[in-house]
Amino acid sequence: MSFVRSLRRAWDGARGKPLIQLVAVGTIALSLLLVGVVELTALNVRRLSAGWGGDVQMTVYLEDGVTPARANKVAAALAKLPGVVGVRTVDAHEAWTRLRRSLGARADLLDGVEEGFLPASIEVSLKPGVAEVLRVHPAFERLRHTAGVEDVELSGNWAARLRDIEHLLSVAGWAVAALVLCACLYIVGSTIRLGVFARRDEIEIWKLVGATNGFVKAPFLVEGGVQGALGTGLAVMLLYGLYRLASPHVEAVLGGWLASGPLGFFSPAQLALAVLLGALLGVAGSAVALGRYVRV
Amino acid sequence: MRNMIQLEAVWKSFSGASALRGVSLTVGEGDAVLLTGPSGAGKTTLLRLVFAAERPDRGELSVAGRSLARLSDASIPYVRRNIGVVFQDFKLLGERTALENVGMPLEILGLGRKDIRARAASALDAVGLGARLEARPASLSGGEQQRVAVARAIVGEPAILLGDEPTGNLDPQRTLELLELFEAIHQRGTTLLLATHDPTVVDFGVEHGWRCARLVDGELLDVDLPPSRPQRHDEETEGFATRESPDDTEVIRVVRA
Repeated sequence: MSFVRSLRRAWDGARGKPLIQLVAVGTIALSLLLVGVVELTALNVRRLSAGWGGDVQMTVYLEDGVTPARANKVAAALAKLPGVVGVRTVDAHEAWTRLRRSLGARADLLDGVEEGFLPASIEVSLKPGVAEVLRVHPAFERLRHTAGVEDVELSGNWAARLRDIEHLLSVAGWAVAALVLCACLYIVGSTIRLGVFARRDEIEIWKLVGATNGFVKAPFLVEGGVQGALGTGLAVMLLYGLYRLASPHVEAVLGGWLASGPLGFFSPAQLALAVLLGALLGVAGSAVALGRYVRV
Repeated sequence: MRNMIQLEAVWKSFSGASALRGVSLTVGEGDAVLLTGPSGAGKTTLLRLVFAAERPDRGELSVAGRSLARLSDASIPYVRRNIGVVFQDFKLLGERTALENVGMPLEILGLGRKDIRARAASALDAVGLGARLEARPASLSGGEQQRVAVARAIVGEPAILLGDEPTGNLDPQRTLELLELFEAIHQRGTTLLLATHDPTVVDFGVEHGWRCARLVDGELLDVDLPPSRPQRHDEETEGFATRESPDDTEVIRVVRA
Protein backbone atom coordinates (compact mmCIF):
# COMPACT_ATOMS: atom_id res chain seq x y z
CA MET A 1 0.00 0.00 0.00
CA SER A 2 2.74 2.42 1.00
CA PHE A 3 4.72 1.45 -2.11
CA VAL A 4 1.70 2.23 -4.29
CA ARG A 5 1.36 5.56 -2.50
CA SER A 6 5.06 6.29 -3.04
CA LEU A 7 4.65 5.34 -6.69
CA ARG A 8 1.73 7.74 -7.01
CA ARG A 9 3.67 10.53 -5.31
CA ALA A 10 6.67 9.78 -7.55
CA TRP A 11 4.40 10.02 -10.58
CA ASP A 12 2.92 13.29 -9.30
CA GLY A 13 6.42 14.71 -8.94
CA ALA A 14 7.82 13.35 -12.20
CA ARG A 15 4.98 14.40 -14.47
CA GLY A 16 5.67 18.02 -13.59
CA LYS A 17 9.10 17.85 -15.27
CA PRO A 18 8.79 15.44 -18.22
CA LEU A 19 11.71 16.91 -20.16
CA ILE A 20 14.13 16.36 -17.28
CA GLN A 21 12.90 12.78 -16.94
CA LEU A 22 13.28 12.21 -20.66
CA VAL A 23 16.82 13.58 -20.70
CA ALA A 24 17.78 11.48 -17.66
CA VAL A 25 16.34 8.26 -19.08
CA GLY A 26 17.86 8.96 -22.51
CA THR A 27 21.31 9.68 -21.10
CA ILE A 28 21.23 6.57 -18.93
CA ALA A 29 20.12 4.54 -21.97
CA LEU A 30 22.95 5.84 -24.16
CA SER A 31 25.53 5.27 -21.42
CA LEU A 32 24.34 1.73 -20.81
CA LEU A 33 24.19 1.09 -24.55
CA LEU A 34 27.95 1.51 -24.58
CA VAL A 35 28.30 -1.17 -21.91
CA GLY A 36 25.86 -3.36 -23.84
CA VAL A 37 27.87 -3.11 -27.08
CA VAL A 38 31.11 -4.08 -25.34
CA GLU A 39 29.47 -6.92 -23.43
CA LEU A 40 27.69 -8.20 -26.56
CA THR A 41 30.98 -8.19 -28.47
CA ALA A 42 32.65 -10.11 -25.64
CA LEU A 43 29.74 -12.56 -25.61
CA ASN A 44 30.15 -13.29 -29.30
CA VAL A 45 33.92 -13.59 -29.12
CA ARG A 46 33.37 -16.17 -26.37
CA ARG A 47 30.86 -17.99 -28.57
CA LEU A 48 33.23 -17.83 -31.51
CA SER A 49 36.04 -19.22 -29.42
CA ALA A 50 33.84 -22.01 -28.03
CA GLY A 51 32.44 -22.80 -31.48
CA TRP A 52 35.89 -23.16 -32.95
CA GLY A 53 37.03 -25.21 -30.05
CA GLY A 54 39.14 -22.42 -28.72
CA ASP A 55 41.70 -24.73 -27.17
CA VAL A 56 42.34 -26.76 -30.34
CA GLN A 57 45.80 -25.91 -31.67
CA MET A 58 46.40 -28.80 -34.09
CA THR A 59 44.10 -30.54 -36.56
CA VAL A 60 45.09 -33.85 -38.13
CA TYR A 61 43.08 -34.43 -41.34
CA LEU A 62 42.57 -38.09 -42.20
CA GLU A 63 42.60 -39.62 -45.65
CA ASP A 64 39.36 -40.65 -47.30
CA GLY A 65 38.28 -44.12 -46.40
CA VAL A 66 40.25 -44.34 -43.17
CA THR A 67 38.43 -46.74 -40.89
CA PRO A 68 37.19 -45.59 -37.49
CA ALA A 69 39.54 -48.14 -35.93
CA ARG A 70 42.54 -46.58 -37.65
CA ALA A 71 41.37 -43.09 -36.72
CA ASN A 72 41.04 -44.13 -33.08
CA LYS A 73 44.50 -45.70 -33.16
CA VAL A 74 46.07 -42.47 -34.45
CA ALA A 75 44.10 -40.48 -31.87
CA ALA A 76 45.27 -42.77 -29.07
CA ALA A 77 48.87 -42.41 -30.21
CA LEU A 78 48.53 -38.63 -30.27
CA ALA A 79 47.01 -38.60 -26.81
CA LYS A 80 50.11 -40.30 -25.39
CA LEU A 81 52.47 -37.60 -26.72
CA PRO A 82 53.95 -35.17 -24.20
CA GLY A 83 52.37 -31.71 -24.33
CA VAL A 84 49.02 -33.01 -25.57
CA VAL A 85 46.14 -32.02 -23.33
CA GLY A 86 43.22 -33.58 -25.22
CA VAL A 87 42.29 -35.38 -28.41
CA ARG A 88 38.93 -35.50 -30.16
CA THR A 89 37.91 -37.37 -33.32
CA VAL A 90 35.56 -35.55 -35.69
CA ASP A 91 33.97 -37.75 -38.37
CA ALA A 92 32.86 -36.55 -41.81
CA HIS A 93 29.24 -36.19 -40.69
CA GLU A 94 30.10 -33.95 -37.75
CA ALA A 95 32.37 -31.84 -39.97
CA TRP A 96 29.48 -31.45 -42.43
CA THR A 97 27.07 -30.48 -39.64
CA ARG A 98 29.51 -27.86 -38.34
CA LEU A 99 30.00 -26.35 -41.76
CA ARG A 100 26.28 -26.19 -42.38
CA ARG A 101 25.70 -24.51 -39.02
CA SER A 102 28.49 -22.02 -39.61
CA LEU A 103 26.95 -20.91 -42.90
CA GLY A 104 23.75 -20.02 -41.07
CA ALA A 105 21.30 -18.43 -43.47
CA ARG A 106 23.53 -19.30 -46.39
CA ALA A 107 23.52 -23.04 -45.63
CA ASP A 108 21.65 -23.57 -48.90
CA LEU A 109 25.03 -23.18 -50.64
CA LEU A 110 25.62 -26.78 -49.63
CA ASP A 111 22.45 -28.02 -51.32
CA GLY A 112 23.38 -30.75 -53.77
CA VAL A 113 26.82 -31.24 -52.21
CA GLU A 114 27.52 -34.74 -50.99
CA GLU A 115 27.55 -34.93 -47.18
CA GLY A 116 30.73 -36.95 -46.90
CA PHE A 117 32.99 -34.67 -48.94
CA LEU A 118 34.68 -33.21 -45.87
CA PRO A 119 37.51 -35.27 -44.38
CA ALA A 120 37.36 -36.74 -40.92
CA SER A 121 39.87 -35.22 -38.54
CA ILE A 122 41.43 -35.40 -35.12
CA GLU A 123 41.48 -32.19 -33.08
CA VAL A 124 44.36 -31.95 -30.64
CA SER A 125 44.61 -29.53 -27.72
CA LEU A 126 48.14 -28.69 -26.68
CA LYS A 127 49.74 -27.17 -23.64
CA PRO A 128 50.68 -23.48 -24.01
CA GLY A 129 53.77 -23.01 -26.21
CA VAL A 130 53.85 -26.59 -27.50
CA ALA A 131 52.42 -25.63 -30.92
CA GLU A 132 55.37 -23.32 -31.60
CA VAL A 133 57.91 -26.04 -30.70
CA LEU A 134 56.05 -28.71 -32.64
CA ARG A 135 56.08 -26.61 -35.80
CA VAL A 136 59.88 -27.10 -36.15
CA HIS A 137 60.10 -30.53 -34.51
CA PRO A 138 60.86 -33.62 -36.66
CA ALA A 139 57.88 -35.36 -35.07
CA PHE A 140 55.61 -32.97 -36.91
CA GLU A 141 56.91 -34.12 -40.28
CA ARG A 142 56.71 -37.77 -39.19
CA LEU A 143 53.07 -37.24 -38.25
CA ARG A 144 52.28 -35.84 -41.68
CA HIS A 145 53.61 -38.99 -43.23
CA THR A 146 51.84 -41.39 -40.91
CA ALA A 147 49.58 -43.85 -42.63
CA GLY A 148 45.99 -42.61 -42.87
CA VAL A 149 46.96 -38.96 -42.32
CA GLU A 150 46.24 -36.62 -45.20
CA ASP A 151 47.57 -33.41 -43.68
CA VAL A 152 48.37 -31.76 -40.37
CA GLU A 153 47.56 -28.17 -39.65
CA LEU A 154 48.91 -26.19 -36.74
CA SER A 155 46.70 -23.28 -35.92
CA GLY A 156 49.53 -21.50 -34.19
CA ASN A 157 48.60 -19.42 -31.21
CA TRP A 158 45.36 -18.00 -32.68
CA ALA A 159 43.35 -19.67 -29.96
CA ALA A 160 45.50 -18.05 -27.31
CA ARG A 161 45.15 -14.72 -29.10
CA LEU A 162 41.41 -15.17 -29.22
CA ARG A 163 41.43 -15.81 -25.50
CA ASP A 164 43.54 -12.68 -25.03
CA ILE A 165 41.01 -10.65 -27.04
CA GLU A 166 38.21 -12.18 -25.02
CA HIS A 167 40.02 -11.29 -21.80
CA LEU A 168 40.74 -7.76 -23.06
CA LEU A 169 37.10 -7.27 -23.98
CA SER A 170 36.04 -8.55 -20.60
CA VAL A 171 38.37 -6.08 -18.82
CA ALA A 172 37.27 -3.26 -21.13
CA GLY A 173 33.66 -4.22 -20.46
CA TRP A 174 34.17 -3.93 -16.72
CA ALA A 175 36.08 -0.65 -17.07
CA VAL A 176 33.35 0.85 -19.28
CA ALA A 177 30.71 -0.52 -16.91
CA ALA A 178 32.44 1.14 -13.93
CA LEU A 179 32.68 4.48 -15.74
CA VAL A 180 29.09 4.28 -16.91
CA LEU A 181 27.99 3.28 -13.42
CA CYS A 182 29.50 6.48 -12.04
CA ALA A 183 27.95 8.50 -14.87
CA CYS A 184 24.52 6.97 -14.24
CA LEU A 185 24.77 7.61 -10.50
CA TYR A 186 25.62 11.22 -11.28
CA ILE A 187 22.78 11.59 -13.82
CA VAL A 188 20.16 10.09 -11.52
CA GLY A 189 21.54 12.06 -8.58
CA SER A 190 21.37 15.33 -10.50
CA THR A 191 17.80 14.68 -11.64
CA ILE A 192 16.75 13.82 -8.13
CA ARG A 193 18.44 16.94 -6.76
CA LEU A 194 16.50 19.00 -9.30
CA GLY A 195 13.35 17.24 -8.18
CA VAL A 196 14.14 17.91 -4.53
CA PHE A 197 14.73 21.56 -5.34
CA ALA A 198 11.50 21.84 -7.33
CA ARG A 199 9.53 20.21 -4.55
CA ARG A 200 11.29 21.82 -1.59
CA ASP A 201 8.06 23.48 -0.42
CA GLU A 202 6.23 20.18 -0.47
CA ILE A 203 9.10 18.48 1.37
CA GLU A 204 9.04 21.22 4.02
CA ILE A 205 5.31 20.73 4.55
CA TRP A 206 5.64 16.95 4.74
CA LYS A 207 8.28 17.40 7.44
CA LEU A 208 6.09 19.89 9.30
CA VAL A 209 3.19 17.49 9.48
CA GLY A 210 5.40 14.72 10.87
CA ALA A 211 6.61 12.76 7.86
CA THR A 212 9.62 10.55 8.49
CA ASN A 213 12.75 10.74 6.33
CA GLY A 214 11.72 7.47 4.73
CA PHE A 215 8.29 8.83 3.80
CA VAL A 216 9.82 11.96 2.25
CA LYS A 217 12.53 10.03 0.41
CA ALA A 218 10.39 7.13 -0.84
CA PRO A 219 8.95 8.81 -3.99
CA PHE A 220 12.41 10.05 -4.99
CA LEU A 221 13.87 6.57 -4.56
CA VAL A 222 11.01 5.16 -6.64
CA GLU A 223 11.64 7.87 -9.26
CA GLY A 224 15.35 6.98 -9.37
CA GLY A 225 14.54 3.28 -9.65
CA VAL A 226 12.06 3.86 -12.47
CA GLN A 227 14.57 6.08 -14.29
CA GLY A 228 17.22 3.36 -13.99
CA ALA A 229 14.84 0.61 -15.14
CA LEU A 230 13.49 2.67 -18.06
CA GLY A 231 16.99 3.76 -19.08
CA THR A 232 18.19 0.14 -19.04
CA GLY A 233 15.07 -1.02 -20.88
CA LEU A 234 15.62 1.60 -23.56
CA ALA A 235 19.31 0.63 -23.81
CA VAL A 236 18.29 -3.02 -24.29
CA MET A 237 15.85 -2.06 -27.06
CA LEU A 238 18.46 0.11 -28.79
CA LEU A 239 21.06 -2.64 -28.47
CA TYR A 240 18.65 -5.19 -29.93
CA GLY A 241 17.87 -2.84 -32.79
CA LEU A 242 21.59 -2.37 -33.46
CA TYR A 243 22.12 -6.12 -33.23
CA ARG A 244 19.37 -6.84 -35.77
CA LEU A 245 20.70 -4.12 -38.03
CA ALA A 246 24.38 -5.04 -37.83
CA SER A 247 24.41 -8.81 -37.39
CA PRO A 248 23.73 -9.73 -41.08
CA HIS A 249 26.62 -7.53 -42.16
CA VAL A 250 28.98 -8.84 -39.46
CA GLU A 251 27.97 -12.43 -40.25
CA ALA A 252 28.60 -11.79 -43.94
CA VAL A 253 32.07 -10.47 -43.18
CA LEU A 254 32.94 -13.32 -40.81
CA GLY A 255 31.33 -15.88 -43.13
CA GLY A 256 32.38 -19.45 -42.37
CA TRP A 257 34.34 -18.38 -39.28
CA LEU A 258 31.14 -18.49 -37.27
CA ALA A 259 31.31 -22.18 -36.50
CA SER A 260 28.90 -21.74 -33.60
CA GLY A 261 26.11 -20.31 -35.78
CA PRO A 262 24.81 -16.76 -36.18
CA LEU A 263 25.82 -13.95 -33.79
CA GLY A 264 24.24 -14.35 -30.38
CA PHE A 265 22.26 -11.93 -28.19
CA PHE A 266 21.69 -11.84 -24.45
CA SER A 267 19.14 -14.28 -23.02
CA PRO A 268 15.81 -12.96 -21.64
CA ALA A 269 17.02 -13.81 -18.12
CA GLN A 270 20.17 -11.75 -18.64
CA LEU A 271 18.11 -8.84 -19.97
CA ALA A 272 15.71 -9.03 -17.02
CA LEU A 273 18.70 -9.03 -14.66
CA ALA A 274 20.13 -5.98 -16.46
CA VAL A 275 16.87 -4.06 -16.04
CA LEU A 276 16.76 -5.04 -12.36
CA LEU A 277 20.35 -3.88 -11.88
CA GLY A 278 19.48 -0.65 -13.73
CA ALA A 279 16.62 -0.06 -11.30
CA LEU A 280 18.93 -0.70 -8.33
CA LEU A 281 21.48 1.67 -9.85
CA GLY A 282 18.77 4.35 -10.05
CA VAL A 283 17.73 3.77 -6.44
CA ALA A 284 21.38 3.99 -5.35
CA GLY A 285 21.93 7.25 -7.26
CA SER A 286 18.79 8.68 -5.74
CA ALA A 287 19.77 7.58 -2.23
CA VAL A 288 23.20 9.19 -2.55
CA ALA A 289 21.63 12.47 -3.73
CA LEU A 290 18.93 12.45 -1.03
CA GLY A 291 21.34 11.65 1.77
CA ARG A 292 22.74 15.14 1.56
CA TYR A 293 19.62 17.09 0.73
CA VAL A 294 16.70 15.60 2.63
CA ARG A 295 16.99 15.53 6.39
CA VAL A 296 14.21 15.90 8.97
CA MET B 1 -2.72 19.79 34.82
CA ARG B 2 0.44 18.54 33.13
CA ASN B 3 2.87 20.74 31.28
CA MET B 4 2.60 20.49 27.50
CA ILE B 5 5.46 22.84 26.68
CA GLN B 6 8.29 23.57 29.05
CA LEU B 7 11.39 25.65 28.37
CA GLU B 8 14.01 26.07 31.06
CA ALA B 9 16.82 28.56 30.47
CA VAL B 10 16.86 27.86 26.74
CA TRP B 11 19.52 29.50 24.63
CA LYS B 12 19.67 29.51 20.85
CA SER B 13 21.97 31.43 18.54
CA PHE B 14 22.53 31.59 14.78
CA SER B 15 25.99 32.42 13.46
CA GLY B 16 26.96 33.86 16.80
CA ALA B 17 23.87 36.07 17.13
CA SER B 18 21.64 35.12 20.06
CA ALA B 19 18.03 34.54 19.07
CA LEU B 20 16.91 33.29 22.50
CA ARG B 21 18.68 34.08 25.76
CA GLY B 22 17.85 31.92 28.74
CA VAL B 23 14.14 31.68 27.99
CA SER B 24 11.96 29.84 30.52
CA LEU B 25 8.29 29.28 29.78
CA THR B 26 5.71 26.76 30.88
CA VAL B 27 2.50 26.09 28.98
CA GLY B 28 0.05 23.76 30.67
CA GLU B 29 -2.35 21.36 29.01
CA GLY B 30 -5.32 23.27 27.61
CA ASP B 31 -3.63 26.66 28.03
CA ALA B 32 -3.85 29.37 25.41
CA VAL B 33 -0.73 31.52 25.35
CA LEU B 34 0.11 34.52 23.21
CA LEU B 35 3.76 35.10 22.47
CA THR B 36 4.11 38.76 21.69
CA GLY B 37 7.04 40.95 20.81
CA PRO B 38 8.50 42.90 17.93
CA SER B 39 9.86 41.39 14.75
CA GLY B 40 13.20 39.69 15.38
CA ALA B 41 12.44 39.19 19.08
CA GLY B 42 12.80 35.38 18.77
CA LYS B 43 9.14 34.35 18.59
CA THR B 44 9.56 32.23 15.48
CA THR B 45 12.76 30.68 16.86
CA LEU B 46 10.90 29.68 20.00
CA LEU B 47 8.12 28.06 17.97
CA ARG B 48 10.66 26.29 15.74
CA LEU B 49 12.27 24.87 18.86
CA VAL B 50 8.91 23.61 20.08
CA PHE B 51 8.17 21.69 16.88
CA ALA B 52 11.77 20.47 16.76
CA ALA B 53 12.80 22.29 13.60
CA GLU B 54 15.73 23.56 15.67
CA ARG B 55 17.56 22.25 18.71
CA PRO B 56 18.41 24.44 21.69
CA ASP B 57 22.08 25.24 22.25
CA ARG B 58 21.60 25.13 25.99
CA GLY B 59 18.77 24.58 28.42
CA GLU B 60 15.92 22.11 28.71
CA LEU B 61 12.94 21.88 26.40
CA SER B 62 10.18 19.34 26.70
CA VAL B 63 6.96 18.92 24.73
CA ALA B 64 4.18 16.69 26.04
CA GLY B 65 6.61 15.34 28.60
CA ARG B 66 9.33 14.41 26.09
CA SER B 67 12.68 16.15 26.29
CA LEU B 68 13.51 17.47 22.82
CA ALA B 69 17.13 18.21 23.69
CA ARG B 70 17.87 14.49 23.96
CA LEU B 71 15.48 13.34 21.23
CA SER B 72 16.94 11.27 18.39
CA ASP B 73 16.45 12.55 14.83
CA ALA B 74 14.32 9.51 14.04
CA SER B 75 11.87 10.40 16.83
CA ILE B 76 11.30 13.99 15.73
CA PRO B 77 8.51 13.22 13.18
CA TYR B 78 6.53 11.40 15.86
CA VAL B 79 6.72 14.44 18.15
CA ARG B 80 5.54 16.67 15.30
CA ARG B 81 2.48 14.49 14.73
CA ASN B 82 1.22 15.72 18.10
CA ILE B 83 1.70 19.36 17.09
CA GLY B 84 -0.28 21.33 14.53
CA VAL B 85 1.38 24.40 13.05
CA VAL B 86 -0.21 27.37 11.25
CA PHE B 87 1.98 29.86 9.42
CA GLN B 88 1.49 33.40 8.20
CA ASP B 89 2.07 32.26 4.59
CA PHE B 90 -0.31 29.28 4.95
CA LYS B 91 2.17 26.80 3.39
CA LEU B 92 -0.40 25.09 1.16
CA LEU B 93 0.49 23.14 -1.97
CA GLY B 94 -0.93 24.87 -5.02
CA GLU B 95 -1.38 21.71 -7.08
CA ARG B 96 -3.41 19.99 -4.36
CA THR B 97 -7.05 20.66 -3.55
CA ALA B 98 -8.08 21.90 -0.11
CA LEU B 99 -9.09 18.34 0.73
CA GLU B 100 -5.75 16.93 -0.41
CA ASN B 101 -3.82 19.59 1.50
CA VAL B 102 -5.71 18.84 4.68
CA GLY B 103 -5.27 15.11 4.17
CA MET B 104 -1.45 15.30 4.18
CA PRO B 105 -0.94 14.59 7.92
CA LEU B 106 -3.25 11.58 7.56
CA GLU B 107 -1.34 10.21 4.56
CA ILE B 108 1.79 9.81 6.66
CA LEU B 109 -0.22 7.83 9.21
CA GLY B 110 -0.97 5.31 6.45
CA LEU B 111 -4.76 5.71 6.57
CA GLY B 112 -6.87 4.52 3.65
CA ARG B 113 -8.03 7.00 1.01
CA LYS B 114 -11.65 6.87 2.17
CA ASP B 115 -10.70 7.56 5.78
CA ILE B 116 -8.44 10.40 4.72
CA ARG B 117 -11.20 11.98 2.62
CA ALA B 118 -13.77 11.63 5.39
CA ARG B 119 -11.56 13.09 8.10
CA ALA B 120 -10.17 15.88 5.92
CA ALA B 121 -13.70 16.82 4.84
CA SER B 122 -14.80 16.85 8.47
CA ALA B 123 -11.87 19.15 9.41
CA LEU B 124 -12.67 21.49 6.52
CA ASP B 125 -16.30 21.48 7.58
CA ALA B 126 -15.22 22.43 11.09
CA VAL B 127 -13.42 25.51 9.77
CA GLY B 128 -16.40 26.49 7.61
CA LEU B 129 -15.07 25.29 4.28
CA GLY B 130 -17.26 22.23 3.84
CA ALA B 131 -18.38 23.56 0.46
CA ARG B 132 -14.86 24.18 -0.90
CA LEU B 133 -13.34 20.72 -0.60
CA GLU B 134 -12.12 20.49 -4.18
CA ALA B 135 -10.98 24.12 -4.47
CA ARG B 136 -7.31 24.75 -5.08
CA PRO B 137 -5.55 27.37 -2.93
CA ALA B 138 -5.30 29.84 -5.83
CA SER B 139 -9.09 30.00 -6.02
CA LEU B 140 -9.48 30.67 -2.28
CA SER B 141 -9.24 33.99 -0.45
CA GLY B 142 -6.45 34.60 2.08
CA GLY B 143 -8.81 33.91 4.95
CA GLU B 144 -10.01 30.71 3.36
CA GLN B 145 -6.47 29.57 2.69
CA GLN B 146 -5.59 30.15 6.33
CA ARG B 147 -8.67 28.15 7.34
CA VAL B 148 -7.44 25.30 5.15
CA ALA B 149 -4.06 25.56 6.92
CA VAL B 150 -5.85 25.42 10.29
CA ALA B 151 -7.88 22.42 9.14
CA ARG B 152 -4.62 20.70 8.15
CA ALA B 153 -3.12 21.56 11.54
CA ILE B 154 -6.02 20.08 13.50
CA VAL B 155 -7.00 17.14 11.29
CA GLY B 156 -4.64 14.83 13.16
CA GLU B 157 -6.19 15.99 16.45
CA PRO B 158 -2.89 17.24 17.89
CA ALA B 159 -2.58 18.12 21.56
CA ILE B 160 -0.79 21.37 20.70
CA LEU B 161 -1.55 23.99 18.08
CA LEU B 162 1.17 26.50 17.23
CA GLY B 163 0.61 29.64 15.19
CA ASP B 164 3.39 31.79 13.77
CA GLU B 165 1.81 35.15 12.95
CA PRO B 166 -1.28 33.27 11.70
CA THR B 167 -3.19 36.47 11.03
CA GLY B 168 -0.33 38.27 9.34
CA ASN B 169 -1.88 38.08 5.88
CA LEU B 170 -5.52 38.57 6.87
CA ASP B 171 -7.75 41.63 7.02
CA PRO B 172 -9.36 42.52 10.41
CA GLN B 173 -12.62 40.72 9.67
CA ARG B 174 -10.84 37.50 8.59
CA THR B 175 -8.51 37.86 11.59
CA LEU B 176 -11.44 37.85 14.00
CA GLU B 177 -13.01 34.88 12.26
CA LEU B 178 -9.74 32.96 12.54
CA LEU B 179 -9.37 33.88 16.22
CA GLU B 180 -12.91 32.61 16.90
CA LEU B 181 -11.83 29.41 15.26
CA PHE B 182 -8.72 29.18 17.45
CA GLU B 183 -10.85 29.80 20.52
CA ALA B 184 -13.23 27.02 19.50
CA ILE B 185 -10.27 24.68 19.07
CA HIS B 186 -8.92 25.80 22.45
CA GLN B 187 -12.29 25.13 24.07
CA ARG B 188 -12.03 21.54 22.85
CA GLY B 189 -8.93 21.15 25.04
CA THR B 190 -6.14 21.85 22.56
CA THR B 191 -3.14 23.75 23.92
CA LEU B 192 -2.53 26.95 21.94
CA LEU B 193 0.71 28.87 21.54
CA LEU B 194 0.41 31.75 19.08
CA ALA B 195 3.22 34.11 18.17
CA THR B 196 1.93 37.51 17.09
CA HIS B 197 2.54 41.21 17.08
CA ASP B 198 -0.99 41.91 15.85
CA PRO B 199 -2.90 44.12 18.37
CA THR B 200 -6.21 42.57 17.27
CA VAL B 201 -4.98 39.17 18.36
CA VAL B 202 -3.79 40.54 21.70
CA ASP B 203 -7.17 42.23 22.28
CA PHE B 204 -8.93 39.01 21.48
CA GLY B 205 -6.63 37.10 23.83
CA VAL B 206 -7.28 39.52 26.68
CA GLU B 207 -10.99 39.23 26.12
CA HIS B 208 -10.89 35.45 26.27
CA GLY B 209 -8.49 35.12 29.18
CA TRP B 210 -5.49 33.82 27.24
CA ARG B 211 -2.10 34.07 28.90
CA CYS B 212 0.51 36.35 27.45
CA ALA B 213 4.31 36.23 27.29
CA ARG B 214 6.44 38.94 25.77
CA LEU B 215 9.76 38.37 24.02
CA VAL B 216 12.20 41.20 23.43
CA ASP B 217 15.67 40.67 21.96
CA GLY B 218 15.52 36.96 22.76
CA GLU B 219 14.58 37.46 26.40
CA LEU B 220 11.18 36.61 27.82
CA LEU B 221 9.56 39.45 29.75
CA ASP B 222 6.24 39.81 31.52
CA VAL B 223 5.46 36.11 31.55
CA ASP B 224 2.01 34.95 32.61
CA LEU B 225 0.74 38.41 33.38
CA PRO B 226 -2.53 39.71 32.05
CA PRO B 227 -1.52 41.60 28.91
CA SER B 228 -3.46 44.63 30.05
CA ARG B 229 -1.17 45.07 33.04
CA PRO B 230 2.42 44.43 31.88
CA GLN B 231 4.74 44.25 34.88
CA ARG B 232 8.23 45.65 34.66
CA HIS B 233 10.96 43.73 36.45
CA ASP B 234 13.83 45.50 38.06
CA GLU B 235 16.95 44.69 36.09
CA GLU B 236 19.20 44.38 39.12
CA THR B 237 16.97 42.16 41.21
CA GLU B 238 15.34 40.00 38.50
CA GLY B 239 18.25 39.71 36.13
CA PHE B 240 16.58 40.81 32.92
CA ALA B 241 15.76 44.13 31.42
CA THR B 242 12.64 45.56 29.90
CA ARG B 243 13.48 46.92 26.52
CA GLU B 244 10.74 48.23 24.37
CA SER B 245 11.21 48.58 20.67
CA PRO B 246 8.84 50.92 18.80
CA ASP B 247 6.81 47.88 17.63
CA ASP B 248 6.59 46.52 21.12
CA THR B 249 5.53 49.84 22.56
CA GLU B 250 2.72 49.85 20.07
CA VAL B 251 1.57 46.41 21.21
CA ILE B 252 1.65 47.44 24.86
CA ARG B 253 -0.22 50.64 24.09
CA VAL B 254 -2.96 48.66 22.37
CA VAL B 255 -3.07 46.10 25.16
CA ARG B 256 -3.29 48.80 27.82
CA ALA B 257 -6.01 50.51 25.89
